[in-house]
Amino acid sequence: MADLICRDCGFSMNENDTEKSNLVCPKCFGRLDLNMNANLQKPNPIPAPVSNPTYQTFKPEFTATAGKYFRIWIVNVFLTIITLGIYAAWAKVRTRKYFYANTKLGGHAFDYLANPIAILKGNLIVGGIFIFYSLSNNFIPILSPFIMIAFYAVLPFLIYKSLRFYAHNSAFRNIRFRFLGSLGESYKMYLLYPFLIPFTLGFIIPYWAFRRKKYFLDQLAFGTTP
Amino acid sequence: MIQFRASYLDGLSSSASEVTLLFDGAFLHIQSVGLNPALKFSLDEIEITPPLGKTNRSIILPNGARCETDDIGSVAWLEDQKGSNMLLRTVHFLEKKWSLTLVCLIGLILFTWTFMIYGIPFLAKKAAYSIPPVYMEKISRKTAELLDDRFFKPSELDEKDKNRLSDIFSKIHNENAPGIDYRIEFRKSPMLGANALALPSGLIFMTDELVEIAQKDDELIGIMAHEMAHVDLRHGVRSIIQNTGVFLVVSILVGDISSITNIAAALPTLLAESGYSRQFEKEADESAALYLIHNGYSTKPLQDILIRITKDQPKFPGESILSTHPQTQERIDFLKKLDKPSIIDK
Repeated sequence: MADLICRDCGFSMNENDTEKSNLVCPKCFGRLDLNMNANLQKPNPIPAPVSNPTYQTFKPEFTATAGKYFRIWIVNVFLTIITLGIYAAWAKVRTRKYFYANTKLGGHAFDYLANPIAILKGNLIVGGIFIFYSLSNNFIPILSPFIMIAFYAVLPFLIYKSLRFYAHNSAFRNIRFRFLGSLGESYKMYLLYPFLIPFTLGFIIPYWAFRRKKYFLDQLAFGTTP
Repeated sequence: MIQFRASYLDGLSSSASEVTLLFDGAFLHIQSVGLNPALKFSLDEIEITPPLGKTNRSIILPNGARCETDDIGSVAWLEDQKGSNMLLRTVHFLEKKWSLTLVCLIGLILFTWTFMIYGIPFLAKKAAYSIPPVYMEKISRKTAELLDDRFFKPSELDEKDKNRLSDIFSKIHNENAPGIDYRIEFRKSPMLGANALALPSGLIFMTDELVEIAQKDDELIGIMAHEMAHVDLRHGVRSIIQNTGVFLVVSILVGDISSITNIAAALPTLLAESGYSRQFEKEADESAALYLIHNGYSTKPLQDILIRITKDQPKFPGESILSTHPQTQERIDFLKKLDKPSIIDK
């Protein structure tokens, strides 16, 4: 006997013969899935000893609500505006923390550990570059192509650093993630591929998006023990 | 004294063990069967993660371990004893209630509104007057090149007309603000129609179409005084700085709504910019009117030519949104109001 639940309307039923039912909801013709939650009510927070590994499947849960996030967002924007942008760093951490804390796996939530002061420093640097570029564009226009070139030259480095920062500050069960990608790969992703766009008439863009995701996710590691 | 349960995560492995936390008024004791001997820390040694919604909270221990718990009431009590996270506790308090969120929303709108109307123009003015004239010259040179490249053709006016108008221009220059290096140049521009432009360096362009539309020179005096006021009041640089400011404010406001950023950011920016430019036109009109009245002219010729310029303007598709017509009427009413006292004086 299997516990079936409809993805679309939430209709649930007990089906003795899963193969016959074609997995279609009789109410709304949506797709039926096996109800995994039934097995997840009592997650075991203590993993089995290493000497005798057993595998358990946990389904991720997401418990954030729109109303709660709306309030967090409004307060974030309000404080960011009245502090003339300084609070933006704290706002960023709060937003990430809220989504992480509501993403649970096996009863434990993810956590974002970044120090807002570090993000504030980054924001100030980017803000400084923007103001400098915007002013030089109007007052010393001869400089702006050089600033653009310099910006594109350091952009892959900045992205590489920020991916490392992002991974290092993401944690699960008090173990941080790590980003193992190389700086050279980052230059390939954020300098070489964009450079190829005009020569491929833009057809490379979807592949580029795929490679960027792959660059980050393939090189993401959890903890240090292999 | 307080006692609650938590998961102990040592930070070395992903394993968790159930512990009991006990605060006896001086020390926080962490006890469990697997943890021998029990750990003991003072409140100064530990760190407590700030409250956020109803999510789990952690107590960070000096050895890198964390005690995570869903008993947020007990953690809040402990946090109170420690007296930490005061600022983020206030933020949490604001986020907790819909009524306070609404107050924040209203505060956000009021603050943004006030900042856009008074703050940005005030800061831009301060900044504009601190720019050395050398830079004014530099910005203007680039803009003049661009105008000549895209919008202007050489003037086809008679030398005689040009000289006569240049003489009038010099006269106003001397009477008005001799300190600034004003120059006038004439260009033909089918694209811009009857128009005059001032660059921050003091270079003023007048189109052939404008000279042709003028029925008498008196009308152009008002235009010249108006353009000189734009230079004198540094409107060109102020608008550059203000538009940068608006862009920054709007990007903070809509920064979270990344998918619709382009549309969401473009419209308020456009509206704010047209609002600022109306304000600058009004200031320049006022300055021109004061000059005219002070030197015994009336603003009537300026009003007349403004009406004719508006009629002559080439129609762009976008014009109906930011319609110039009611604005012209507004400007004329404003000029009439300024004109009245001088008529009574006479």
